[in-house]
Amino acid sequence: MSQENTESSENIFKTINPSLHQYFNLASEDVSTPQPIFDEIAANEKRYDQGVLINQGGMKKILQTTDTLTGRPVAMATLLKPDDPQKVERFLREARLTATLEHPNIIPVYDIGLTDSSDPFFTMKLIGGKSLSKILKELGEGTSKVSLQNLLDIFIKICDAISYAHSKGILHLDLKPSNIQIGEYGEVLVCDWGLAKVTDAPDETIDGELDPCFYNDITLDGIIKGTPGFMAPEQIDSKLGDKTKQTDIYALGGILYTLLTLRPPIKKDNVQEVLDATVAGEVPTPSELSLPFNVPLSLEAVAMKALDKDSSKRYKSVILLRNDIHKWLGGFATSAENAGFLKSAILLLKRHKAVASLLVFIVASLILSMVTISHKEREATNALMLYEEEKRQTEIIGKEASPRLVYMAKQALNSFEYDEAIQFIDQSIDRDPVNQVAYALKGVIHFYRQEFNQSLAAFNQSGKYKKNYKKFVLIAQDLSKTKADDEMLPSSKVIPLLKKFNRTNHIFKIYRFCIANYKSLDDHMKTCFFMLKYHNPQNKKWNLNFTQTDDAAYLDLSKNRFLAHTGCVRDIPINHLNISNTDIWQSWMFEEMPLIELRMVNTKIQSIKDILKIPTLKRLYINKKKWPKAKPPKDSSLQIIRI
Amino acid sequence: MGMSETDQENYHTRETLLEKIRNQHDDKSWEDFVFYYKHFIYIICRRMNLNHHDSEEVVQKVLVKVWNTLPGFEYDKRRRFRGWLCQVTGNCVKDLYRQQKRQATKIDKASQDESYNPMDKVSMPDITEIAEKEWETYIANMALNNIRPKFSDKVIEVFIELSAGKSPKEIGEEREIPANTVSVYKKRVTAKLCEEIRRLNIELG
Repeated sequence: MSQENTESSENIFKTINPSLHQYFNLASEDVSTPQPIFDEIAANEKRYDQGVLINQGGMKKILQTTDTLTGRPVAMATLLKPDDPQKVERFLREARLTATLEHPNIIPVYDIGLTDSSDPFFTMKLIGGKSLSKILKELGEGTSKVSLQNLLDIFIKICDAISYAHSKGILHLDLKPSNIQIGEYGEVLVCDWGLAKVTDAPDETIDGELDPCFYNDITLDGIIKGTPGFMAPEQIDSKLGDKTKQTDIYALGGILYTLLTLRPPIKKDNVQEVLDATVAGEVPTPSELSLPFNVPLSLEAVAMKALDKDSSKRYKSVILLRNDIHKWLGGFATSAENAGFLKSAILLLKRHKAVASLLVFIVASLILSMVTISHKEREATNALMLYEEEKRQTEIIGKEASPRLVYMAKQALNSFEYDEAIQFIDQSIDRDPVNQVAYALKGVIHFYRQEFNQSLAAFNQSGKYKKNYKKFVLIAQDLSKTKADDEMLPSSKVIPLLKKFNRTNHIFKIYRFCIANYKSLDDHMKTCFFMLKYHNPQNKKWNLNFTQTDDAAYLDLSKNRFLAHTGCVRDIPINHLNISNTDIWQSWMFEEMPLIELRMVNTKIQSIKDILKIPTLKRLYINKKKWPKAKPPKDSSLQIIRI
Repeated sequence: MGMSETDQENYHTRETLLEKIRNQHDDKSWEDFVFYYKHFIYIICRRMNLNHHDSEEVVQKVLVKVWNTLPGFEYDKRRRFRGWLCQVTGNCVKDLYRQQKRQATKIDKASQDESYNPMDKVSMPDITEIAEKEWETYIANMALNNIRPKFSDKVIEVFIELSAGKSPKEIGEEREIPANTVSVYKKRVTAKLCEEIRRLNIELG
């Protein structure tokens, strides 16, 4: 045996320094093994940590725990009384059923199993955030702000989830705001499928009796676990019919009702009264509640239809319910637009404060318009009486869609889609023939389109808005005499027209319409030159040349030392373009042109990558120093001339 | 029994030296093994209150046993080699004690000295626990010895004083060096020491 080790064991034993032990732990702390995750999983004996209680219901409790295998926090559901075999089976059934539902708006089940003591559990996605009932409560207390539009977006997602579940033949049967969880990042998840039922499976409940689940929920402990008021009448008394998709639709109607009114559809002092009122179908319409805020009539109608006592009168499917909400959202006037009107009215008053007589006149007209509005309100309320008729409902929705269509017309106009803009604005007026804002915009759109007669006609219907467009009206009156609406103004008349406007917005709208519709390249170029000068006031000395032969158009913009903005030349079919010796730094407007030749020596353009791809281009003049390596694309006959 | 962090980390490496012996059963790897484990077994024996001579005897017995057993030692991921080594050591100590007791009984019945009964004081699980801590201290000490040549004596002395609980300020005043310098010494030595501990731990497993 080797005795190489010269130091004696005794000596080592005597000199060993116990205080160095701390460094062993220190060293192992930051040690990294090549397979730390593998090692951790291999060593895993207990998948879930102890957990902290985060919620407790009538049947089960929810713990927050960590899945040590995946390393993520999860929510774990366990039974409060795991000794009852029936409850255990139902609990596991809920887990299995939820696990089959794979939808972004349904809580995902990760794992089902038994604990060491054989108690059943299942784990789900752990959602932060709040339940919908909490959000609504805070909203009612004024401690948080959520727009109706956001609430309806949530509602649409709930509908999506239930619609999906129905497609799988599964009814939720316990939908209520507290079972909807809204995550921190806005994710909407329908939870607690404990009462869910597979429609094809035989009904387990005994006819004529209260559903035992609900019975338990309501009377066990004497506390209401669910929120009666979201239950459909047929859930309370099965003589009223089977539980069907319409049962969930009733609950969805209840949720919508709560979103609109911040209170449940049926509010009574005790459970029995709620149940009686439910069976009797005594849901007050939101307008009957005299709430301190407005509930849109069409949404009220949607909720009431879903909450009909008679399941056959409710929506036939969740999709139909969802579509109605969607329609309404599509026609929703943004709060910004509404505020804009009020604000401008106040500003108007302020402006004319000094002129007493005018003030009197304005006040008088305001009162008049208020009277008109309240008259209209009465009309609408009367109309609501007929809300069962699908047709009428569409009309209400249509009217509420009118402002939205104005907005869409504006959007179309801003992207120079003149035809689309007219279509939208006409639809808007179609829905609401007294929408003065719509008429004003219609006047503007026709003006840009040089349809001055139609423009005038529209402005004349825009009521109080007309005076904001004095300049438009005056010009239209003048020009409508000289030309029919389907004729184009020649460039000689467009240029003076453009000069009358100061705002780039109007100038560009008028100009782009010309460019899109001019038949003659000459008119094109004349207005274009005006625009170039308008956009490049910094360039004092102009050198602009345009020539045209039978088969080609030549544009020379070169030697305009300070010419930089050339967006206005887009859409003009130029074949030979010279932009050398200018400040031009953008090239996108040239890339769409049918260019055969492009001279771009001494410009500020940084990249010719996309220019090289112009399919028609045959000759390209560039600086030798700037692009020494530029090559034409494969199979192209492009010739690059370096100067 | 719960697994400590170090246990888990050791899983993939601790076969190294043992495997060498198992697979090759040659003199070189055996020498290495003895070099590292001889003192450790000795320390365990002394911790179980054996005197120097008895400890030396037990070390020899254990080493013989290891030599004979190791080639066939079924390496089980769930079982630690050192656990087994401690068991062997514990058994050897027990044997030694019984043997001595028998002799004592023969010679003088009255001289049954209960005070010298190592197995009375410590049970097997305790031995394993003691051994584990002892092993860690042993490795840490060996690591410090190994890195000693890399530093001046002064730096190492300062480091040992710091480890014993002296404050940098105190040391600084005594040795007339700034407290900051003391901290820098500590950082440097700690870094090297931890690195060496990890190396040894992986090599020896």
